[in-house]
Amino acid sequence: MLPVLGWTSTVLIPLAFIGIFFAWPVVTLIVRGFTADGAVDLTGFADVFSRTSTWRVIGQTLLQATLGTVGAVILGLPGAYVVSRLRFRGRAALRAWITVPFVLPTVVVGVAFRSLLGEGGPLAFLDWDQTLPAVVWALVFFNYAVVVRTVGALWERLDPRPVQAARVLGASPLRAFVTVTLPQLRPAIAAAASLVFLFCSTAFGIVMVLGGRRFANLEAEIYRQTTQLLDLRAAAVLSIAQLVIVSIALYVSSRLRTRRETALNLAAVATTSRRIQRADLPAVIVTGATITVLHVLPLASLVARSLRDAQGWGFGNYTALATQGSRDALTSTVWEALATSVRLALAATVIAMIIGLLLVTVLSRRPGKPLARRGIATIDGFVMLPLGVSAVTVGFGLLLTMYQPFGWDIDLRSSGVLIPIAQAVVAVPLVIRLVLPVVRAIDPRLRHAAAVLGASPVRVLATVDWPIAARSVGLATGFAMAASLGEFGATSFLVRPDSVTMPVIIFQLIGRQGAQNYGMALAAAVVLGLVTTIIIMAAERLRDAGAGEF
Amino acid sequence: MSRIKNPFSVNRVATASIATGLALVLTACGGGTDSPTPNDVATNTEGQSEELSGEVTLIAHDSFTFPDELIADFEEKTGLTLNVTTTGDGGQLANQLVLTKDAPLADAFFGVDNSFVTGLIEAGAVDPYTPESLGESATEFAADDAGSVTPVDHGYVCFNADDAWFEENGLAAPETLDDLTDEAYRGLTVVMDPTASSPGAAMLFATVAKFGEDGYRDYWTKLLANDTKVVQGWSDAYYVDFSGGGEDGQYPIVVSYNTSPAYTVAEGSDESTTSVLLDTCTRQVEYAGVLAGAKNPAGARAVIDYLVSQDFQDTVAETMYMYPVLPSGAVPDEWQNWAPVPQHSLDLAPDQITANRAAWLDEWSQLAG
Amino acid sequence: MSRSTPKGLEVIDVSVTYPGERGAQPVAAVRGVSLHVPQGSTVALLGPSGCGKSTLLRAVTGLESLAGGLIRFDGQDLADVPVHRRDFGLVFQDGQLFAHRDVAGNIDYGLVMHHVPRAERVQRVTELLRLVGLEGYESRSVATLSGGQRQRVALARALAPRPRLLLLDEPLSALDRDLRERLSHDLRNILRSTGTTALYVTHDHGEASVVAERVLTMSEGQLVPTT
Repeated sequence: MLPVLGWTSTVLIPLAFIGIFFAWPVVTLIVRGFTADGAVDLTGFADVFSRTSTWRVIGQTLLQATLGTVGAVILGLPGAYVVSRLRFRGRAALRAWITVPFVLPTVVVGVAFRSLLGEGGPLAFLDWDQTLPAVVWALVFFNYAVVVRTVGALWERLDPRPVQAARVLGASPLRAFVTVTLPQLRPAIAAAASLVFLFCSTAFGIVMVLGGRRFANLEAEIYRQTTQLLDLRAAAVLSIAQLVIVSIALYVSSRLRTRRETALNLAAVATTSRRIQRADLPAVIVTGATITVLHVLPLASLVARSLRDAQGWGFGNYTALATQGSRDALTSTVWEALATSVRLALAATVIAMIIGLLLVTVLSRRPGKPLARRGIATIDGFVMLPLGVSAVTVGFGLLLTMYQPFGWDIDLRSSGVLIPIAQAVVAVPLVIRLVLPVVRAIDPRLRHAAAVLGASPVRVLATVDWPIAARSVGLATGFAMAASLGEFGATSFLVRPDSVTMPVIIFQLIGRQGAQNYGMALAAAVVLGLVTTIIIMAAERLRDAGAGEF
Repeated sequence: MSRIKNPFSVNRVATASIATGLALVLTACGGGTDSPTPNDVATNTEGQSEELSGEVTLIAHDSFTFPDELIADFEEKTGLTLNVTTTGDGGQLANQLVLTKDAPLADAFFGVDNSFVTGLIEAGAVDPYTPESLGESATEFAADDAGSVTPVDHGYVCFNADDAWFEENGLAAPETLDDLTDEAYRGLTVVMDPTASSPGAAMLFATVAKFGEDGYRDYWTKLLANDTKVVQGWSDAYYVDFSGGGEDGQYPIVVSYNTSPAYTVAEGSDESTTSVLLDTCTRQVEYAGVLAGAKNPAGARAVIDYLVSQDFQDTVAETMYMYPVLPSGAVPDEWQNWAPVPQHSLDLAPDQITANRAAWLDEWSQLAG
Repeated sequence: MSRSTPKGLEVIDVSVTYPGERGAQPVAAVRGVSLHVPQGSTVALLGPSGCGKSTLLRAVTGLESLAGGLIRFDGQDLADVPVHRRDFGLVFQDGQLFAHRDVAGNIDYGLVMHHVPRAERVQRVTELLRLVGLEGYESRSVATLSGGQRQRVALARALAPRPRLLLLDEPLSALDRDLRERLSHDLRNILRSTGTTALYVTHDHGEASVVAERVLTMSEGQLVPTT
């Protein structure tokens, strides 16, 4: 009786959460777009799809997301190897550092990239300003860490002996990788690829800034239609197009994940990593080059610029962070905004981890009944959707639905609680895709063994799943926190009661006149990046301390 | 121009607000001594008006600043508790307010500009109100004859030129919109995409004002053919592409604000390195208003009264980089020197923009490709 | 060299050192071990867990690098021969079958790596399955095999490419006693009948004496001199 009750709420709580704070708002907004004077009006489809610009943005969305995903996966695999299988000084810092782009406000990154690529910039000779390569570069910049960490979380747990067996049987290191490691990593690669595809297809600011008009994607078009023209009809049609693309991507990814998904031999992490050897050089060199071109170049230009002010080189921009900007143009100091951001991100992370782990518990089961199996596959896809749907659609939808929801006498829209909730909705898919591959790889016989030995389902979770998954749970915590810290889209569309977050204050600063505001914006972005690095490093330390190796 | 004729001017609501407005102005001038208590304000209105009490919520765009000490001042004077909430940029704010008009997000709003405000009024999202205290001087900023919304500040979007660049290259800086299509200025101009940027859109409307609904397309065709660069946002254009932004850009002409040259005065220098093309300016006015269906309409009116009070108006230029709507509002010294107010600007009536906004943006998109 | 080089595996004064964790002293897992496995014979390395016998075996495969000493096969120094060019076979304690391949796919693996033509591979897989007593198991998923069956497949997989030397790392330790006894006899027969040169690591004295012709004992990284 008790287990049944337990499972029911384990399924229902997270689904209710995502249903209320994601599905309901989105459906409401789309329905509103198709309702004119109380009657359903579907002429929007014909109208929007007859515009050539619609097909262009759909084509661009697919092209950019595909290229961004392929690029991030190809470059991310060697990176995952380096940070998960090799032991070297500064590995923890490197792991944290590659996650930094993930939180940087796109408006700042856009400026950093364009000052490299634009006319007069050091990379102007590439002639990449407002081109597809620039967009793809930036997409890979943001998503490299997703591949490295998602795949790395499984890779660091893979028992090295199957590869050794292959090597002894005559496979070169490359052959052994392709024939043994790659199939084992496949679920994690598919998970990472689906995450990256969704991130790329809903990338907004960066695509606009770097791609300009010609490379606008669906997300940018939805933004224009809703916030510039309030054309909800067009926005609804485009949102549906986005949902269709994202659903297809999720379906393909789940097919790739499950077809070969088998329990793997997972090993204690300590036994799988080793010092760098000569054979590792290709991976080390590729990773070094990737990080240099992808991260160091744009970030160094950002940091260098943040250290320059009217007086020349120095920390002027950083000391200014304690002020309310030149002429007190800000409502709070950057440090206060940072405190607000951290507070909101903590709340969002707690929510995301609770919801995410409940879902992982459900999704990691492999029931015998086909109906239950299909149900689990459906839930798996459904909970990913928040990543693939426009922040504008969700934001506007929340405004429509969260005024006294369910007849409660409370206006949730302006209460501020929606901000961490909206951030959590976006972080949940991240948590799931980071933790689930590892939990699914646990040999079910371990659980059966524990159960036979008298462990209750909860004890099985605590004694079998948890010790194995703890590291990826720590990683997911760090990622969820980073995602919340850097979240701008939904936050900016929601109503904020008297508190600005870091991305918002950076956006304010960079949009104001005066070189000092610009310098402060860059300094604030650097601070946000540093704080993120520290938080992720701390999260990874916690995971090591908190969970004993099995 | 339009005149403010408040249709509510004889009813008790307006009377109450006149009293409040006056009280506020009085306290502002009186330096805080003998300031009437909140109860005085309420009872001064012959006992008929709503009590000013409870909470009042103001919603504004991201760039809005309501200095803490003024919030305290407002609360002390009115006995209200003020919540300031923010959301998105001006365009997002306007559209959110239209979308939520049946269940408003706040009592009062601030920060919808002249290109969006008519949409808000036409959607019925606004409860008409203009404080009498604003006076005749503000008439020229009114959005409509009914005084539905209250102008709070204004500024100008203009082309800026990098004087140092033109001097170095022995070329005279352009002066008019037509100059920009001249072969001599080929490849020197950067503009913002009007479908993505609000100053970019303002400049599009300026060209409609200048060349008419038929002529503006020709103008843009010529301007873009003259190798004009289009980028997505102001910070992008000004800091990355504009040569006068201090960041090694390559384009000496940019769409920016008339106040921008005040921020390119080098330390110790008394001259700005950039200047405004005064014949290319268009005015942006930001409005505040009472939201229809507000929970605390009297409180909302008190907030709007305060936004056009001397105390608040004195902060507008410093914090929001806009000119106060009150002529007596303080303006930074450097603006006097380097940010001249254009003698004439290329403006359209707000309702004209609202009616044609989508069509113009669409046409522009098609010719820009 | 005047002396004719001996056939088979020669381990000469080999040491293997693990770097210490977080600044600790390096650990010498194998210290100056020398041994010889003549062609066609099986030598067992016996010792408690942690005595360094598995490390030595991994060093022979090339999976561990040497801190000192020399490993030769048929007189050739293996220092510069990478793992996959040594033509050795390795059987782990728990099989380490490739979970994403079926039984035939596992046995086939080494043959593919050695570019054996397809028809020949199919034949060889059948032959090996017969040898280890699992006829007809080709398309079975490895997840459905019992522990003993897994080890048989692992053995077949290692033998398939006809390795010059077979290394067995506690191949029967995970199995129950009855099975272990039965399999150790099977193993001896298979090694004899195929004329395989083998180094067999175990902690079970009985098993060692069944399978191997010669038993060496290791303790704390060193060979214990036979008295």
